Parts: sequence; structure tokens; C-alpha cells
Amino acid sequence: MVGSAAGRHRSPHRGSSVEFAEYREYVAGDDTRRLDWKAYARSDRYYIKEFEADTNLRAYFIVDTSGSMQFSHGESMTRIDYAKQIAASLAYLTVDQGDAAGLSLCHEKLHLEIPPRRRASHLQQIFHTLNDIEPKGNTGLVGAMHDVAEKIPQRALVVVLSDFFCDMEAFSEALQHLRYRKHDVALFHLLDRQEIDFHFERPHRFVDMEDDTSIVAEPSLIADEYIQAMKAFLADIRTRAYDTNSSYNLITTDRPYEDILRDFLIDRLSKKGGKA
Amino acid sequence: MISFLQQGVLWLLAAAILPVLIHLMNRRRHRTVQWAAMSFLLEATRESRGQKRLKHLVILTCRTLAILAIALVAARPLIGGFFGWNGGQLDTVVLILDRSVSMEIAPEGSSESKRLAVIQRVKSSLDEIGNPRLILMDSASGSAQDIDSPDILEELSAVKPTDTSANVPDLIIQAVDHITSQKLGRSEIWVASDLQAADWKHDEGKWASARAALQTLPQENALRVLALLGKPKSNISVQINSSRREAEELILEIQLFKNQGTQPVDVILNYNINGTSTSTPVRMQGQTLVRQERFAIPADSTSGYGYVSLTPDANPRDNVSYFAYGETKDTHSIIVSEIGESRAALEHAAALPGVDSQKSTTISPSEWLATPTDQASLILWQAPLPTEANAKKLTDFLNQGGVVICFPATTQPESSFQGISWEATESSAANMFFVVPNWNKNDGPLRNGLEDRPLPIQKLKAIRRAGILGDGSQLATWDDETSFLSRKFVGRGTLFFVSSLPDYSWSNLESGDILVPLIQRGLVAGSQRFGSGLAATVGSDAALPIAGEIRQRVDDYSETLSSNNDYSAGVWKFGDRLIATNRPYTEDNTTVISSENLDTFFKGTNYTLFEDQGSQENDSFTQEIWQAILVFMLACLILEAILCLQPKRPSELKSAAKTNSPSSQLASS
Repeated sequence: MVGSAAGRHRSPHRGSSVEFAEYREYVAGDDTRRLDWKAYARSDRYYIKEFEADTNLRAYFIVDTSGSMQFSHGESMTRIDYAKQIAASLAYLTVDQGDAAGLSLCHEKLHLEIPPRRRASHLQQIFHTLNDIEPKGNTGLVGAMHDVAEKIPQRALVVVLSDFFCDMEAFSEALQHLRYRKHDVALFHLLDRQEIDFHFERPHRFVDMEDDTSIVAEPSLIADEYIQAMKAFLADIRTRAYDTNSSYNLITTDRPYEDILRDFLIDRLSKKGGKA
Repeated sequence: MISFLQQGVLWLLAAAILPVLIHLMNRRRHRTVQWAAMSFLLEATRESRGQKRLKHLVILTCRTLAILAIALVAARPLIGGFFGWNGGQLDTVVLILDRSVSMEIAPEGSSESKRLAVIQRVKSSLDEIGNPRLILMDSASGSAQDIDSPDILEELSAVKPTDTSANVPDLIIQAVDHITSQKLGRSEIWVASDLQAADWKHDEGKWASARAALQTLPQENALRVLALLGKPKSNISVQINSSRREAEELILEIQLFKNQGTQPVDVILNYNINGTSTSTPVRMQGQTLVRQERFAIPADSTSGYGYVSLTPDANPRDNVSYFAYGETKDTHSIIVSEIGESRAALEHAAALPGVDSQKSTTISPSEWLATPTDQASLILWQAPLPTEANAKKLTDFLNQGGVVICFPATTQPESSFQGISWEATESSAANMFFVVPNWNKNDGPLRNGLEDRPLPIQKLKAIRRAGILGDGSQLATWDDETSFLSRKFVGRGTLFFVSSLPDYSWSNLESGDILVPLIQRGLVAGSQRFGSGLAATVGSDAALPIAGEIRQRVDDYSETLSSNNDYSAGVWKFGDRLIATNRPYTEDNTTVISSENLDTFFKGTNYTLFEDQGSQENDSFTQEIWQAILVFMLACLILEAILCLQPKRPSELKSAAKTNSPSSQLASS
């Protein structure tokens, strides 16, 4: 991880640390204190002993605030509330361990960014901002991802929380853009159980949450086709995430978010060799 | 055809629209939900066509049909073809029951006669349609009889077997008259018959009247014909063609007729003459056997009687034929002829040399009016056809049962007799002859002789002939299918026209091979009119006692109900006179009319034909079909349930959603 302060995360920069990294030949200007005299004695050449430097984490949370994020069915939590809880929890954990957390909210007409900071007061700002979210309009997720990719100067963890009901090709390009900038991307795909199962008994008028268009349909007639389309969508997004080496997490909003966080953190620990 | 006993509940059929209404209302009463994954919904809607919609339509149809079935069951549907949609609303049924001899035969697969079978079916059917008023019109009496209850139908003497024939068109006319005169309301005429041609094929004039009568009925489809068409069992009938006494001998000409098959059959002929029974085995080689039997009778006996019978078979009514005889009587013929060669030939054939009992008188046409005919059996008319008074006298002779045979005259003024006239004479081409290849071998004076031997008609060669024009029936035809011998029944008598003359300038008829049997058979037939005290056909006026006479049966062959005496064959005493009555022998002919014939008879009227094969499996014309409809309804509901079952949805999605591990997600995809 690349950060401006020493932290708990392994950094690609070499520095003073207890963990040996490699030898390299001495060049003019190197700190002579870092010369390995034992190596000089053995080889009659000057070598500099490099150590891994620990640095801080920049975590950037992109939360989709389009109208579709307001969806919930039955007693389950709305998608946006679920996203808020995950984003807030992860931001808290990030700042709590001395890392920086930033936030990007996006929908069609709004793109609000809070740059990453490590201060506790900054965390409060993130909480207030999350609390004030009112989802509406079409999604601006792809644009927000491109913006984040461009604006964050150093490698960071980019956590995207959305239903990903957007153009898949554009979304895929945004993912590649983030990966090109060496960012570590984690996708939280939030769906309601009903959106997957499509379990309706009688005719319904379905009103689009983003543009208010509607359609009257007999669920028993279209259920199979709908489920097939949803299945293809999930397979597609999972493939695109895999192709860009992004972490993909399909989450139904009827699950406790604590479980989601636990699984996510354990998964990252196993990937990064013991440090999240 | 389907009819309903409870037509009042047919309005329930309207309930069939309920599933459609509910479907439409459901579509209108939809719930509204906010939905995010709209693109998938639109895609699913686009793709959900064809099979799914068809399935939905089938479900809707099944529900509709199930309700229709419930409504139909509630209306108690009947099927069977005899009743139409109006079957349950009848006030009166006029049942014309064919009681002719042919109705007594049992069809294959049944032990009961067609008459009994139809009575059972009528009873059951009347019961099923709510027992409307029943009026019975039987073919024997022709009278209408109000029946209190169909249950007693088979006990009535008016439905018992008879030895009569039936006149169906007349019965239909009478039934219509009865319905009209009695103002019977909503009525139907049911004709129960075996469609035997002899009972149905009467002249077109009768059928025209019947059609006109039916058209006066206000109700459509007022006539239903129940045709009992089951294939009859093998049956042999016996009839006595002639019985005559010659001094101390009784000569019977007996004819056997087999209704099917031509294989040789051994038959026992039982004779009963004046109470003495004898039997003779005979073998039938073909379908018909004609046999002459001679029996010695006491010279001093003035009269006697008897019968010839067969062992019982499929039709018990045609197994016997009765006869009676009186004192020997000379036969007289009158020959009205022009002078010529043919006169001698006719005289020779009418009074055979050596037969003293046959006498003939030859007169010229001008002497006809002055010649008494009361003793004559046969008149041979070889002269211009009679007109005016001459024609009337000849017609009177026919009406009294005489036989007249007309031959061409050498001169042919334009005249006709009984609707028949001569055409101009015609000669054959040089060295060519007119011949007669076709003639009726079973009926008429040219029928086959004893042992079924045919007459040598093919020996006839004619070089001159006169065409026969008119409405007589052809009994023999020339090779160009014009008539050689025509016949017309006039009153009780028979009129024949022969197309050529026993004259060398006309034909070789004078050789006798054809002329003698032709005239002798005419003589025998004509003699029957003097035996009117000795023989009659059941159903004719001659078979009825005249006022003051008491009927008493004298033979011992069978017993009859006194109420059916008039319709039963037997040997009777009417006061002092003896008479043998027999069934109409036309009843032995099993030919039936076709449905095309029926269409012709009832042209312009609506009628329903129900063909019953006469088996005993079903004793009703109708059958309630609610069971079948319930099964159909059940099938509809089961199909609906199967189609409504939702197929098991793929479980992969659920498991993928529950398992958050990226690897398992990928694996599941």
C-alpha cells in the first residue's frame, strides 16, 4: 500500500523497517549508514541493504445513490441503507487503524467527493454525508469510478457499493481504468432477494424507480425469462470482476451486514498475507 | 344429437365466462410495485411469448370448459340421436307402431322381436324425457289410443303381433290429423318400423299427401323415425300360392322363401288337412322353392281347410299358410278378340284340351257389353282398348278380383285403359328378333315353376311388337329394356299388358311354352275371386266378417286374442262360410328402403332418423351422458392443475446469493 504516513500496511517503497527486502549496489548519494559491511567484506563491493517500509491505507468508498438504490421488498432493508452501513463500518475501521477514508456519492446529477483523511473528525463528516443521502435519478456510477481513478494520485482501496444496474460495457471500462491506476477494487453487489427470485403471485404494475416508466405484467408468464436474464447478468458481472482482478461480493439485503463485513475482511486477510 | 332433461338450468352455461372475467379483472386489479431491475423485466416480457401464452390460454380454456361441463351435467344431457334439442319439452308423443309381420323377426344378437325391442326402447325413452302424454297408433287398426302410462304399453292388445302389413304414409297422415283435430299442443310423431319396403313404398301420391300434412304442423322436427335395422336371423317363410280342388284331389302350390344364404337347407313341411297332419322333408337348393303337392280328399266332401307350416324359426308369423277349399268349380274365360290366328291360340291356352273344367267364350269387341262376366275368372282382351261403357265394365270386373290380360290389336286407335295404352307397332330388322332376356322369376305370371324351374322365356322370338305406355310395373322386358309384360293392380283384380301376339306374323307365342303358363296362372289368380269365400289377405275387407256374421276360428295352429282376430291369419268360419286368411306375402320380402328413400319421402320436411341395430345392450333410444361429461370436466381440471404447477426454479441463484465466497460464486456460474 502506498501512503503518506507510516502505518500497518505493507508499502512498495523501501524504508526503515525490520523486514529485509533485497540488496542493491551502492550509488552516490545513498546513506552510507545503510551499507552492508558484511557483504562488502565478503564480495569487496558496496551493497545497500533494503527493508520493506510499512505505510498507511487510503480507502475510497464509491456509493451509488441512484433511485434504484432505494429499492427494498417486504421487510428487508433498502439497498442504500445497507450500503450506508457497510461504507460507514469500513470507513470507521479504516480510520480507527490510522488509515485514510474517503467517500464518493454519485447519481445522474450529483457527484460528491470527500477526499481521504485519517482524522476522527473527518470520519464524522463521512457519517453525516452518508446519513444525508437521498437516492434519486439515474445512476452516475461509471462516471464516478472514472473520476476516482483519475483523482486519487496513489494506489488505494476502492470499494464500490451499488446494484450495478448500468451499462456493463461502460462499467467494465471503468473497472479497467481503476485497475490501470493500480487501485485495489472491491465490488459490493447489493440485491434484494425478491429481485433474484421474482416471486409474485398476481399481476403487478412495475414502476421504474429511476425514471417512473411502468409496465403491467403477469409474473407467472415472465418469471422464467426474468430469472434467466438475472442469472446471465450476475454471471456477466462476476466475469468482468474476475477479468479485472476485482473482488466481487454478491449480497442480498436480507443478510446481516456484520456477516458480510466479516467475510470480506477474512477474505482480504487471506489474500494479503495476514494484513488487511 | 344431444337433448336436455333440465333445460331450465342451461342458463348456467353463461357462467363459463367467469374465468375470462376473473382473468380480466385480475389484470385490472394489479398491484403496483416500485422496481429497480426494470431492464430484465422488459427483456423477460419481450421473450415471454408463444408457448407461455398458449399455456395460459389452455389453462383459461380448461377452466371455461370445466364450468361448461358442470352446467351441462346439471341440465341432464341425453344422447342417442332419437331426440333433438326439443326432446324434453314435449307435451305429446304419437307413436306409430309397425305391427306388420316383418316386425316379428328377431335380429341377430337378440332373442326378442323388433316389435318388442322397440316397445322397450320407447318406454325407456319416454321415461327419460319425463313421460309426456302417449298416444299409440298401431299399423293394424290405424286408430289412436291414449295410453295412461308407458309401463302398460307392452300389455296392450294394440301392440301385439299381427299378420298384417303396414301403410306408413297413411298412418302419418292419420297421426297429423289426430294432432291437429285434438289440438295436442307440442307434439311429435315417432314412427317405429323396420323400414320394410313393402310397408313404406306406396305410391308417390300418398307421400305427397303425407308431406303436405307434416308441413301443416307448427312444430319443426315433429317427425322422428326409429328404424330397427338389425340384421335379421336366418328365417324361412312359407306361403300357399294357390289351392284348388280338382274332383277328388286338392292341389296346393307351396312356396318357400329363405331370407339369407343360398346354401342347401333341409326343411320339414308340415301339412294339416281337415285335422290330419303329415310331414314331408324337402331340400331347398336356392333361396326360393316352389312345390306342388296333391292330396286326396273325399269325393263327397263339400269343403275343407288346413294349413302348411314350418318348424319355428326367427319369425314365427311367417311359418304357416292357411287354405280352405270348397266344391269343384269350372273356370270360365272370356276372350274378346278380333278374327285371326291369335284368337285360336288364346282359346287353346285358356281352355286346355282334355281339361273339362276349363271353359272359354270367344266374343267380338262389339258383343262385350252384352256378355255376362259374373262367372268369368279371366278376360283376354285382344282388341282395341275399351272406352267409356266398355272400359267401365272391364274395370268393374277387375275391381271384383278378376284378371284381365290385354294383347295388341291389329289396329290401334288412340285410347288407353287404366292409364296404359299401346304404342305404334314396331317390326324387327330383317333376320333379327325381339327377345326377352329379363323377367321377374319370383313374382307374376312368369315366375319360376315347381322346384324353382324357370319358364323358357328365352325361346320367345318376336318380329313384331307394340310398345306398352303407361304406369304399369314391368314384369318382363325386351332386350332394349322396353316392356314385354306389364302389370297393374286395379281394385282386387290384376291387369296385364302383353307386348306381342300369338300370331306367326308377330311372334312364336302360340307355341305355348310361354302363353299357356301365362294364361293358366292368370286363370288361377282370377278364380280366387270366387274363392273370396275361401281365401283372403289379412287386413283386407274380404278378411272381415260382414254384418251379422260371427267369427270363429276353426284351425288348431295357434290361438289369437279375440281383440286381434281381425289382424290374425287362420281358418275362420264367418257364420256358415269358411275362409282362410293369410298374411300379405309382400311381408316375406325383407327388402328395406334406404335413407335416400326416406329423404325423398320426407323432402321439404324436417325429420330425424335414428337407426337402431336392435341389440339388447341398451333398452333406450337415449342415454344420459353426464358420466362422460364429468370425466371430461375432471380431465379439464387435471390438465389445468398440471399446467398451473410452477416448474422448479433453478436453485443456483439462491445458493449463490447465500454464499458470499467469490470462488463459490464463480463456480456456481
